[in-house]
Amino acid sequence: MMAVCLRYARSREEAEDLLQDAFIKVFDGIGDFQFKGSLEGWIRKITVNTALRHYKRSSFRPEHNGVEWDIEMAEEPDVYGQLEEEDLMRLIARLPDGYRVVFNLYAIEGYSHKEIADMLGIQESTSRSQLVKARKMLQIWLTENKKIAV
Amino acid sequence: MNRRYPVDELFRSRLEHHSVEPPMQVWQRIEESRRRAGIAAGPSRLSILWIAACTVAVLAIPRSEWTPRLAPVVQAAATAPAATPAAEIPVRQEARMEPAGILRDVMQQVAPVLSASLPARMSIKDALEPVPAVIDAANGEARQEEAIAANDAPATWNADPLPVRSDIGLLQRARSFPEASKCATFKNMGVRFHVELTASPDLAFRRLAPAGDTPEEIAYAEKREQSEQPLYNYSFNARIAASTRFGLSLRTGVQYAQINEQLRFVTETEQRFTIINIIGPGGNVVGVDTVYETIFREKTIRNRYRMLNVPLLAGYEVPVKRWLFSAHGGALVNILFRQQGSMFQPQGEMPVDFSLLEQEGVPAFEKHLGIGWYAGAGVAYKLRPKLQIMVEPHLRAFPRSFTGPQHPVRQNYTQGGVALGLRYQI
Repeated sequence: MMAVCLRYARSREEAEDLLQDAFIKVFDGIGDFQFKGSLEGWIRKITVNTALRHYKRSSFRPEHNGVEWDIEMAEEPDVYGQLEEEDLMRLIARLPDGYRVVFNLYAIEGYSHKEIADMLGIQESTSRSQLVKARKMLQIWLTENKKIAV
Repeated sequence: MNRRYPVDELFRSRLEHHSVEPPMQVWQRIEESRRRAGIAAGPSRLSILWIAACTVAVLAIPRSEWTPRLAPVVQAAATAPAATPAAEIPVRQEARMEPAGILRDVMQQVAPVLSASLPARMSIKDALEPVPAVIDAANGEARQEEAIAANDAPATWNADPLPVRSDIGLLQRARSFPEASKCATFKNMGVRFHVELTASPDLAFRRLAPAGDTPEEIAYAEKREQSEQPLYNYSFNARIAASTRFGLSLRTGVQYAQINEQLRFVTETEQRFTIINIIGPGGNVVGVDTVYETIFREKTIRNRYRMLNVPLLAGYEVPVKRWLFSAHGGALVNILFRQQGSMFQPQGEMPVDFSLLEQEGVPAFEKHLGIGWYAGAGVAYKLRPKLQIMVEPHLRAFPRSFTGPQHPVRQNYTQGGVALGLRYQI
């Protein structure tokens, strides 16, 4: 749960708040769990929903990063083999809020753009656009990391 | 490997099952939050029953369900030295004590309920006992997880206490359920609420029937029929709809409906006569003719019947892609009925205002219309994720006559229309 919260939050403090909210919801809703799926999935779903609710409620400010989108996407994954999970978490945390949420939901949780659009109340095209931008941004940072490593 | 989007694959593979140890103060904050919210007193009775039912369901799963996963652990446990109580060994329990305490509270709430349903050889006390640690044969370190698994072993089912000995054990057991691609559903998450705002032009089919068989009553009914003509009608609805995932839906809210008619009657007649001279061939007046003309002065008064109703509707909905087809029906509870206009009286030659009749203590209309019925079939199309446009053909009627029991004519309406509006998920 903590790892999921960290992926959706801007900071560790925010992630701890999310974890607290999510855990209380798990506790309150344990009676509603119907054993039709995995308990882990159920708890994960509650955690993600808590993070999304927090995301919507806090009406995040637009964030500008000034990155130019001219990086090719065909990077070999092997070059990232040395990256630790904490490094990846830090990169995700650097993403603007909208990008981070969409990237988490699509790339890691496995939701479709339609499901994401329904969950966030946005257009499917917006979800696709934010995902592409998030990918490119991560690609840039990963490339920078690679240069530093070399 | 996702070759097209290696970034996705990189993050998914590395972070999907990545876990982070939460700091200790989070558990303390959770406990404090629960105490502040009064949750610490324990879940509600209904929740306890649900937890009890779920736990009993877990216990009721056949032993064979557990055996394959636990078999290797049983062997390891069998070769390990005798188990030692947890209190005697300094295992890494500090970091896990707080979360265990929370779930333990739930188990303690559940305990009285479970007592009746557990097999006689198991006791709740045993079930709530701390998990004993196991000494690793090689280095003597205590390993909590193996101890938990050892307690789950089917070999100890008959002789040892209840397999679910701790919240951690409970979580591990639940985790052994078949993994689903999607997580479990909530039983109370299937209800969706929508606000529906619609407006509808209506047609009103009026029935004027004499209250009795007397010639006067029949004549009066005909007189009203001829003097009053229908005009446009309309209605507005503001409803809240609750839809379950099974398709059942309930609706309530407020409905305003207005029926408009016009009363046409002759206020006065005027006779006009014209004297015409008849001129002969020589230009002389050879005679005089008098032409009489009768002129009717007609007046029109608009009658309005206003109703405020509360719909109590039940129905069924079928979503098909972006479309939603629904049918619903139920009661309309009239909470306000007001009239404005005039009508002929049985004995009078001129119309009388409704309010005047009321002031004279002989009101023509009812104060309330009681309970009517409503039936509608709707089609909604999703414009945005939470916004739908909807069309709803409908019929409604009130069995009770608009006119009072003393009035010689019974006046009923059946109204129909096509409502157009918006539906927004809240």
